[in-house]
Amino acid sequence: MRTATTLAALLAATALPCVPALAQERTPQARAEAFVQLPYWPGYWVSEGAAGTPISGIALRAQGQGPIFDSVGIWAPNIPWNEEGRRRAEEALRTQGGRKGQGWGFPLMMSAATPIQFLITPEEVLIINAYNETRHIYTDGRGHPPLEDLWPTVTGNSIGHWEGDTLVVDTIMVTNPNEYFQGGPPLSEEARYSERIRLDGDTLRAEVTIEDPVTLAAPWKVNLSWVRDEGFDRMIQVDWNNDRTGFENGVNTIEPSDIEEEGQ
Amino acid sequence: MTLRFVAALAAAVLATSGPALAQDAATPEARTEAFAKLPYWPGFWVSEQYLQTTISGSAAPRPPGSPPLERLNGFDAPYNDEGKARQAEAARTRAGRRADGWGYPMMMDAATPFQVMITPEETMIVNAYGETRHIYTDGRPLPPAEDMWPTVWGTSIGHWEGDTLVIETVQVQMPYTYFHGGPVFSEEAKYTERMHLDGDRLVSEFTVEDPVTLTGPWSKTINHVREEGYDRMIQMDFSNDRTGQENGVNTIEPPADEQQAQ
Repeated sequence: MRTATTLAALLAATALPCVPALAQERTPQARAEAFVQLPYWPGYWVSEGAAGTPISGIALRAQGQGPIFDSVGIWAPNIPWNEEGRRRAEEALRTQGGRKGQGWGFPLMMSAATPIQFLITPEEVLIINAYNETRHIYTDGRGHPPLEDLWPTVTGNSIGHWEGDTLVVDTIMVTNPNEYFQGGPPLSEEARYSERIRLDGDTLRAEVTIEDPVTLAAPWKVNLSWVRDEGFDRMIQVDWNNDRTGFENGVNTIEPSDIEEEGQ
Repeated sequence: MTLRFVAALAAAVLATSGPALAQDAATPEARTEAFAKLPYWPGFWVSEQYLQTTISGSAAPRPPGSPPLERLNGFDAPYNDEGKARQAEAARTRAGRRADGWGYPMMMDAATPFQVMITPEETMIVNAYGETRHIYTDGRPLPPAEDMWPTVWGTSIGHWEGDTLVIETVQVQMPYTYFHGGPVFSEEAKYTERMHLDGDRLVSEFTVEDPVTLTGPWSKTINHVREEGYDRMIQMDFSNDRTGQENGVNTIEPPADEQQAQ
């Protein structure tokens, strides 16, 4: 299935030579002129609601020690589910006990304890987290590829543009986020995610609007914010192999680490 | 890993000079001036060895008489006794093994396209499996030894010599552990790369020094070429390794949906 889809996509992409040309034809001077207009958001950003999360994985706010922040998790209180959305959400919550994630996926990686980095260039913005999850946001003026050249992926397909210092991102073709990560909202592959991201002092803020004709009765609006997590001097990529989610008596638990298991 | 990670975070908090380099920013003018001097290597690059690789995993045949291409798999490295022992063990256990991804250095000699994203402070090399190398070019040195531990992609710093990106990478886990076609170098190996654009080729000159497995430096040159047909990077999980084995020969297993139909 995936093989056939990939091949089909490659063939379609070959037939569209004008798209890559957009990125490759700019002169060095034009690139430098474009670069000077761009903001710079250095640092390793974590969702404000997850900042300071200890190794337990339980954020301070969940321990009653901090304010509640918006989230794009399935637990968000304000998701305007329609009937199908409610059915999916109930099923996801019913079956999530002890489920392990494969990573955060989109949109959860934007609302997580795992730091993200923004690499801003004239043609493209990369958003990448410490589990190698990468979003490519093309800002070279291209549109989304034609539908026959798109298929759902964990991070979807994104294009963007700058409105002053605000990065405006449009993302489509995201697989059901709940399949990848048990805390992801069970949105459909028809969902459209709009983000407006800007730096506000030392806080990075995003207004997110999610529309999904399959699972939502109305647009779902979320305000996300990130702060620079302390203690990071570099991005250290790790495999997503440390999910030790367990389940006992109806409650999620943390399984012993490999080192502790060996010692038992 | 958890304990190591906590220890590393604690160490990173103590080493406050690192983040300051990246965040104390150069003024916008200085950044723009620096950016204007940097090269631009757009495209989706694959090792020339793998150009036009089909879904079978086999590359298109090269014209007769083409010179052999160099590889990073380490098969011809000058191994010492330890290196030879590791190679023999790898040869014995390689068949049918599945991989976790390419890892470093094999992602630089792969059929999976990568992008090189160049900014003044950092160059990122990222492939279609999300495997990412962060190469800091902001003048920082490598972190102190007590703040590093081996990872699949190691720790890299770099600098520009004209249009050549010079990269030093250390603390790479034994590549064979992550990918069964990788070399058996130790975590003490130091990898040096000199990467520059030569016409339509991105040329990477590698030198590996490893006191544990090599008798001396090992150097290889890998040419990267732009793969055709890509208009964007599509990130995928490394979940499509269908390596099988039958009668001592590696095979390709049917995709999951075909297996279900059987």
